[in-house]
Amino acid sequence: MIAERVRKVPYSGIRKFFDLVSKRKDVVSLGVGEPDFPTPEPMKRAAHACIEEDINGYTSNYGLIELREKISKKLKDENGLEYDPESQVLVTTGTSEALDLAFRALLNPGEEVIVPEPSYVAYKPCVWFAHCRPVPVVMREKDEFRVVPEDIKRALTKKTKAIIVASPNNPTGSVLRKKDLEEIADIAVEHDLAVISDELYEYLVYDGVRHYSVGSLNGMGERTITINGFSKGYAFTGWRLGYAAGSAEVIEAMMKIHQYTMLSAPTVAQYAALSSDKCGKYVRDMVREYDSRRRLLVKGLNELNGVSCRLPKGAFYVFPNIQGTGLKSEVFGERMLDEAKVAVVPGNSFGESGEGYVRCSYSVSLETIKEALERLRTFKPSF
Amino acid sequence: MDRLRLLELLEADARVSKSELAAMVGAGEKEVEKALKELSEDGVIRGYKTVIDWRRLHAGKATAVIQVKVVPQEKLGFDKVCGELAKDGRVSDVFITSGKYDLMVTVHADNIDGISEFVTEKLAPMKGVTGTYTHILLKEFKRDGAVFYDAKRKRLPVS
Repeated sequence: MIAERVRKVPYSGIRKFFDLVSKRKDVVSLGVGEPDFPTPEPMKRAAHACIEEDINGYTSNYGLIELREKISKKLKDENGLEYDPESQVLVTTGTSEALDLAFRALLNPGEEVIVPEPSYVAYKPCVWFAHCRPVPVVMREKDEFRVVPEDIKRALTKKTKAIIVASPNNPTGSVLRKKDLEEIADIAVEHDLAVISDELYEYLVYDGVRHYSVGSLNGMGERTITINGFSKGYAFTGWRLGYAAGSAEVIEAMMKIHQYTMLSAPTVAQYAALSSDKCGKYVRDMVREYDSRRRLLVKGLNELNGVSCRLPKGAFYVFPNIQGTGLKSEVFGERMLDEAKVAVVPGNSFGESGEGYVRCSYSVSLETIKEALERLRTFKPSF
Repeated sequence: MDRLRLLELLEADARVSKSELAAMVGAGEKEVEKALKELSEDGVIRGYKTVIDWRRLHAGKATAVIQVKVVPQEKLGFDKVCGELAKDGRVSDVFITSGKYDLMVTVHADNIDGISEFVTEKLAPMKGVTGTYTHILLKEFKRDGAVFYDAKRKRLPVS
């Protein structure tokens, strides 16, 4: 009964590991992919008020105009992006929906999308669901998991339609420099490609690193779809709220799909997000806490035999190299789970180039990180 | 090195090791050691404590928060009374506060009789004390940052 293109798409490696972990007790998990902080108070209060005042209807298909105005102002002030709130911003049910809409709005069947890997697990499947072909481009540890322009160029064909930019990156934690983005922008302009820029982890950067939006570069405003949301920066994952900003033409096309499939993003979440501009201190405090955890986790991982770990500059993941153990990522992950009762996500879940690595999240308390590291001290993986 | 961050981390967990602290603030262990020594000598770090939920052991301890009204003394203000209270081993906190009362004192005893003894025999008769308002703690939900109940929040173990 099931359509072939759907049947052919594999389940996510995260899902597989989730099933393994769920069956066990007393596991310390570094596999989480969402913040462990509460949603900032001002946003919670705004949601309470919304519920109490019986604001229970749909919103405009595009999303509340007040929210789009705030998003537009945020994109201007923080990212140097000029998007008209009336026609160039679409509020979506999480960033995931925005990604799906972007692919479906842009792609004709058979076209190709450049997907730098290791990357978030949903990019390739969403391209497949749009009857198109994702073309992985390998990012290497020696380049600090930043995409190399020459690699993108080699992957281009006549069918290439778009490039995905994801910085800060899940799972590697790498952050692209302005220079990297400029080189990607040059390729996009030269070959008339769209760029889908997933900036969900924007606020989670460390060591004084700055996040840049590729859409703010010369000639990129029209051809970039900037995708962002409230989930990671504001500990807002379960509320399901994201947005896309881009040319009026693309946003209108995305809205067309959105209005028939989703109608509008969750109303209570939209009202809560109106207060996000009052939450700067909450975000800064979370980042401070993540920073300490990041450093502690990297130090501990580097003390393990056969493991080496860079100190990444963004997101809340580290991506240690486990090749020194001689084990494949999945075997390593399973043995770690069995023998040390610590869960991580095998790197190959994020693309073939993630083989030889695992993703560890530091979106867990310092206590949890210490406990995980303590358990790992007795874990001696080898052939 | 960010000394404020160092202190925050230490305040959250006094048992954190020097090497862990050094990693977390991105400094060398020697540097952290030196900072801790200075902060102790300067009286910034006042002690290292363990947070204990005595009720779990049914250890039957009693705690009271007492508001105290005091007539300030010439030149000394509240310092004499505060100093005397601070010397008492049963007292864990002495604060001068704003509001209807002047001091807030936390006192611990083995049972309510012990609290009563402290109030009637020590506190109330003290020179300058004109009134006390005793609050016996009935249940602890959080103390010194430690939560004493099981939080309900649940996240997927892998996502």
